[in-house]
Formats: sequence, C-alpha cells, structure tokens
Amino acid sequence: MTRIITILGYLLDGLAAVGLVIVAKLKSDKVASFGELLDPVMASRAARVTIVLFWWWLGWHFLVVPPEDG
Amino acid sequence: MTDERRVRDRQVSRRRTNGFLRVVSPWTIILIITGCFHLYRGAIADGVIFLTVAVALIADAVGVLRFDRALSPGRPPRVVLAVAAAVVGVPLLLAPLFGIVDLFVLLAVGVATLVIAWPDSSLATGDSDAARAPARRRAAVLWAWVALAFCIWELAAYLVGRPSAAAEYAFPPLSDLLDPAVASPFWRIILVAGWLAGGAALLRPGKHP
Repeated sequence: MTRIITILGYLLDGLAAVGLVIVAKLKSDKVASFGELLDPVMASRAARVTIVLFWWWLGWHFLVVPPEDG
Repeated sequence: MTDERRVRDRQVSRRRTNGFLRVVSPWTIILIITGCFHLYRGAIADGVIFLTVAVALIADAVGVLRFDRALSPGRPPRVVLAVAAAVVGVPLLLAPLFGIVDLFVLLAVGVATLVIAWPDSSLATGDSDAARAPARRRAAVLWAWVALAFCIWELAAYLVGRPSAAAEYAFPPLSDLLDPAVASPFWRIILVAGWLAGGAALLRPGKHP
C-alpha cells in the first residue's frame, strides 16, 4: 500500500507538471510557458550552468551509473 | 541604540547579504546542497561533479577564474545540434548500458555543454518583456512548487526507504521505478531521445510570444 501511495505521489507531481504546460497553452496571458520562463532565467550564468548540469546529470544517472551504485 | 545606528547596521547587513549572494547565488547553493546530498548517499562521483561546478561558479564570481574569456562558442546552430544529437544518440542506444562507451559519451557531452553554457554571450537571451512579468512570476511560483514537491517526495522516499530492502520496496525512489524501463530497448530510445531533445532545447533558448 505504501508503495502505491509513493508511486501515486510521483504520478500526481508529473500530472501537475503536465497540467501546468496545458494551462500555459490555454491561458498564456495568465501563466507563461516553461520556455518563456527559462529565457530570463538563462541570462544568469549560475542558473544556466545549474540547469544544464541537472539535465546532463539525468543522462549520467540513468545511462552511466548502474542501479546498485545509486 | 539610536535610529540612525539601526539604519546604518541594516544597510551594512543588506550590503553583506547582497555581496554574499553575488558570489554564492541561490543556484550555486542548490548545487552545493545537491552535491552534499550525493556524497551523503554514497554517490561520490556525482557529489564531486556538483561541488566542482559550484566551486567553479564561486571562483568565477570572485574573479579568480574567467573561463568566458577563453570560451565563447556562441549559440550552436540547429543543424549542428541535430548532428551532435545523432552522433551522441547512436552510441548511447547501441552500446551496452552502463558501459565504457556511455561513460565517455556522457563525459564528452558534459564538457561540451558546459563550454557552450558558460559564456554569457552564448545562451543568455535575457528576454524580459515587462508586460509579461506577472505571467512569468506566476509560472515561476507554480513550477517552483512542482519542483519542490518532487524533491521533498523523492527525498522522503529515499530517507524512509533507507533502512532495509523491504523499506526501499515500500518507498521506492523514482530511479528504482525508472531503471527497469531504461533496460528495455524501446523505453531506452524514448529516454535518450527525450533527454537529447531537452538538452537541445536548453542549448537553443528560443523566443516566445
């Protein structure tokens, strides 16, 4: 049961992200799209490098590091 | 304490805070926290990577390192990104998972993206239409909540599931749920394609209405 609740938590968060994308499409005057949000954020080097590093780490984590190592 | 003294102390404190944030931005703090967490969970390489980049950003902010003087490749053209994605994607799909090929490809991608992302002239569009500020602020708050909720949930699952294999099964971190999918060729194609598309989008920030 706790496993299902844990998985549901991830699913809900994913659904919230999808919902935000849809709301940004339908109500673009109220909520900016993720891309539009990123534009000014990417003006800062620290933000840019951090975001790119997190993206890179996803590939590193799933393709290079075997599951038993974390 | 006089009012004048209190105001002066407040100004000094604000200057110190601003000076600290100029050197150690909130983004750098996120990298430091992430790096420390990776060290705590025993992922030494991951921790070292995050902390090294954090140190590089701090060194850059205090003027010790000026990488951008040497590096300024600019925004990569779409065709270059498409070719690079193919060159990177094929070995990632064909080589054995967790093998030496994946390791070298990921290291090369990491260095290349850092070289592209570092200079301010490369990806910094700095678009800031004032009329869109409220919509952007609202989106920032909402996305921050989604990201924060994910981090708290993932962290809680990791900590609660830490004591035993049974506990980890009951409270699985997201990686445990996704790892079996990565092992399947079909889902690996989806993961690699999605990952490369995300990277290409980050390296070519566009204009938005």
